[in-house]
Amino acid sequence: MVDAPPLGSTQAGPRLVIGLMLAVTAAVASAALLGVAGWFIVRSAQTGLSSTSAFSWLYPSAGVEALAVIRTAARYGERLSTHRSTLELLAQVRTRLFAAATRLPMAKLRSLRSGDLLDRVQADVDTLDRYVLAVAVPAVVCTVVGAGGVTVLTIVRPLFGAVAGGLLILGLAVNLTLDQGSRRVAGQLALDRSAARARLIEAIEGRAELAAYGARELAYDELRDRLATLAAPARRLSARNANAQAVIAIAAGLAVAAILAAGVGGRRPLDSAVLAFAALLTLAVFDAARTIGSIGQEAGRARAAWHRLREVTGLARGASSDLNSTGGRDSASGPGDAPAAADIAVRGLSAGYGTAPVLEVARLDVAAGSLVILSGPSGAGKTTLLSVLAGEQPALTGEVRVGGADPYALSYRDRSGYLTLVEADSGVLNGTIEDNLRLARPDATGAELDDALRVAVLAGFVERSTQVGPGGSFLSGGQRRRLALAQAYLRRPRLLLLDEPTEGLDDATAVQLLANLAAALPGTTVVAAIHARNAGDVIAHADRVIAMADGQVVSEQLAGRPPVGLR
Amino acid sequence: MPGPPKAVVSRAAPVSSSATLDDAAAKARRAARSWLAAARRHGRAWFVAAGVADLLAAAATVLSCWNIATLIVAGIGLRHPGGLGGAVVGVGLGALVAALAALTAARLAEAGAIRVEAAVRAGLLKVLLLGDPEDESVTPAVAATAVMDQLPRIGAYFRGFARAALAIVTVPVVVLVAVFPASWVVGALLLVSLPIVPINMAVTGLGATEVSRRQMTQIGELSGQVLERLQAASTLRALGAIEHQRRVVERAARELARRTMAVLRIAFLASTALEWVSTFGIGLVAMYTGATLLGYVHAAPLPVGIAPRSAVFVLLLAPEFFLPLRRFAAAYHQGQEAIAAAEVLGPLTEARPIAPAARYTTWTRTPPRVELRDVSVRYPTRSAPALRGVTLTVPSGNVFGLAGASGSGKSTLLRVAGGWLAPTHGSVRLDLRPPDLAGRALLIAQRPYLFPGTLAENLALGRPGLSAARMWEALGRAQLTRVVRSLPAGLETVLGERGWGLSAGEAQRISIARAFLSDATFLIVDEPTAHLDRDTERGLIEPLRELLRGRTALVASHSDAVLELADYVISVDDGHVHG
Repeated sequence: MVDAPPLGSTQAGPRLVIGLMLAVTAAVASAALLGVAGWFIVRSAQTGLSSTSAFSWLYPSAGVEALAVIRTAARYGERLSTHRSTLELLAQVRTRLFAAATRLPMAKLRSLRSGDLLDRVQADVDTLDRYVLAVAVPAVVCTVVGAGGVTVLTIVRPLFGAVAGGLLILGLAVNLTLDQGSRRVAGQLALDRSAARARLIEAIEGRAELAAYGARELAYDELRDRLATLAAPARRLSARNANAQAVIAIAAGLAVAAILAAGVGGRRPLDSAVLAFAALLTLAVFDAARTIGSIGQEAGRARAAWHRLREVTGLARGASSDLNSTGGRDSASGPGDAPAAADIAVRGLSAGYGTAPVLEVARLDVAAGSLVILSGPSGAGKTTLLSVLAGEQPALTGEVRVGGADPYALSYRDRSGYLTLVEADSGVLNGTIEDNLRLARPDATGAELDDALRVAVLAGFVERSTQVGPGGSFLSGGQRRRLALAQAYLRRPRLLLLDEPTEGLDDATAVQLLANLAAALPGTTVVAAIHARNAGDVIAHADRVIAMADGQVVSEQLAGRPPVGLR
Repeated sequence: MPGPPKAVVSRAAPVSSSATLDDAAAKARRAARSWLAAARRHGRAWFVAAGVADLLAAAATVLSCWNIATLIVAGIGLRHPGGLGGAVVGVGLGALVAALAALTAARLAEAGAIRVEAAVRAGLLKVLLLGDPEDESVTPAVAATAVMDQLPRIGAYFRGFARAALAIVTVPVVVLVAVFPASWVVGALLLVSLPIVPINMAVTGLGATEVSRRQMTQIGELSGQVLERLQAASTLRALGAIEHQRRVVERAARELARRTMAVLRIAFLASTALEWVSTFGIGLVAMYTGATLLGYVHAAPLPVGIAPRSAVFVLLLAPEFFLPLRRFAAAYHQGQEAIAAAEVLGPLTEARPIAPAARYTTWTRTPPRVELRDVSVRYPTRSAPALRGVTLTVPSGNVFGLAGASGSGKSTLLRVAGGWLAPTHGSVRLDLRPPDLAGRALLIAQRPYLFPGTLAENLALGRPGLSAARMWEALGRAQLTRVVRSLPAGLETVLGERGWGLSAGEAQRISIARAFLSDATFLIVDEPTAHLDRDTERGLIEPLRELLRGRTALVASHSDAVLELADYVISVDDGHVHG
């Protein structure tokens, strides 16, 4: 298996090893129990008949009970430790996957539906438990018990070992052949399931619209059909499990029949007690191998799930190294480890998606500490420029430097310590205003939070304890905007990039807000993209206004900023 | 941990101590059981057939064991080899039939479980999608958890637990019928061990449902938290908050692992107890038969002797007798999880009526006359009524503006008039008919929901096959022609989640364009410009005027520019209206 899941750094690993050892112990005790019991009874019968009592009843029966205790106790311990370590690993994988998803390149993050990502975090991670419980444990148990049992049978009579070993391997080979393609089925199943989950979430979020436009029945039919198609591959996989068990059971029957026939008939019949031991041992070996029948299928399922997780983790640039190194320091780290200054220099930049650039900037320099407004209509390239400056998207050609560093090359931690991008549609988590402010700065004091509300012109409109509702639905659009700016202010960035910061605000509030930010963050460079129609009075207060259209800088003007009060 | 946001990690459900809470829990469990029993009928024939197949498998195994015993003792000298070829064939054939019958049983149970799941899922989707869209208890996370995580547990119940529970009753009977003639003492011994199963289940199962319920809750909790944070991911990233949020999710994930382990621990304890009974029983059978064969057992009046073949036979059958018990024990947690899932799914599917589609999409050809007569609304959670005896008539084709402070009852009035909320007292009539029959209003919401997908799909909501020409016409009336032409792929531009890529004003105008394409004659417009700047608002006035023309409408707004569109403006204050 090339793609093995990572073993965590906690006790999951050692616990797993203990679990495997206990599993082997339980299976060995179980096989021995049956074999010894069979031998014991037949020996008793022989002794009882011959009346030469050279056989002690006590030791074998004590042995049988001892094996019974060992088997039960080991089985309990095995289940506890394998499940516990598996669940621990899954919790770690879930967390890592979530962290990786939050670090996807912006374009990728936007194109993945949150319902699809959620499905990966839940269902695909759940499926990973197959690696341990349905692949590793049965494989180890079957290998040890199978090899041991076949060895013992070979000692009894080489033919027995050959028959049992041969049929065991044949059964497994048949199953592995039948299991080919199950990874593909499982992969398709996961894909469909994830799409269905995303559709369901979207249909519930938009069900008022669906009802109003008479689209509920269409959505219902679509989802019912989508979910019904999931049943067929799920059924195929489950049927494969049953088939695998049947194959092993039939192999077991054939092996026992063959061994008994060989032991009873032929030129030198075997002692009945030994034959009983061999027959029951054979049954026990195949019983231990029962769960390994579907190992190919289970591995296919787990690998399909693992592949889907890798899609996310693999795409997240530098996610794993960041995750491993930051520990708890990230939230506490102050601004700016890597870039020191706050100036911007752009040379010969083109940026966009695919090969067609949507933005071309020959030269742009912004001095540290200035307030620059990018103005222009929708589609002028303002948001793309902000995204490039924020290091969220690479330059196709040319060079971008913020504080002397390439923002796209910065680590997530250095970047988030240095600059803050406030997007046009920033998200809000259900909870209070304070909860949301603390996202930006978990260790902020109450006074600092109040100060942030004042700077963002929110004081008096909301309290720290105001509930924002699911997705911020209790707030007006303008309040959400200002909450985002309050959060950005709490980051105390050296470079503040704002996308439509004044949308939904009246002119007076907009001017007040930008003035507050500039005054509260002296030395911070602020670049704000503001739609021409929203620019209004704000433009008068900027150091520079850069007008953009069709992905180009069309004009630059130095605006006269009032010297007092606003800075 | 520095100041974690509140209300992010759920606390464990409080342990109920009072009698009433226990009663409620027991009642919920009973309801869940009967709900499961009702669900069973969708696959009953398959489950019965699976039970028969399991019986057949047991009978074939008995046959195989008898032949194995025959072959083993053949060498002892009691029986001279003769007809042993038949016994060899019997071993193989018995094993073959048993394997095929077990395979058939598994497939039948699977088929039945799929039918049950399909039937329950259809009911569930009906409630979630066709139920009252205003029902706030149905969130995306609740829906996704119910359909994608809890429903499969119902399937697993019928696939595994229910089949094992049936086999535990039937299979031991077949085995005992074979054991008693061979050795009545062993038969009696096995019989005596049976009642241990229900006792064991009763003892270990006491707290199991509660534990499973906590696990279910946490699955939903994790789902909701992860979904919300993924939807806000780019913001969390920009704020450098993902490290902290990672820990929030980690806590929730670990809590789920902990609660799942609690469920499993009980299940493992129960199954270990049963395995102990089973293994100990097998050992006891071996000791007893061995002792009897050695002649150690004497019980004068009773016949206790045992033939060697019978001894080997009963020893082989002892594991078969206990096998259904062990299977049952292994499937035990499926039963508990299914009951916990049924406690959620049962009330979800039963309590809510399906809202007929006609309620939302039946429009009168001419704009209706809307009449509210002495309408009062009182929310159960609040003491003061939200509306107090409002009487209001909107003539056909008229637009009424509603002004009033937040909390004045404006939204409640809109919901009642639109037909989404039934008045506590009084009546609402559209052309003299109740809204259930006459249809409801079309809502232009403050924040319209746009589906991830193309712009065309969003415009053609509920009308697949709508021509591009009609879409462009509607876009033109909503003054969106230029905006859409500038989009990279025009009508086929893919919008991100929640209409990402469009500004708030543009999204609002898309919803107006969509309304032009609807046949609605009665509109409710709720604060259409609440979060728009003045210029954007100005751009919305003309499309709105165009939309309201020739329709009956109620328009709530704080904006004078919007209220000017109304024929008549009334103000709402403390649940009263003033003309």
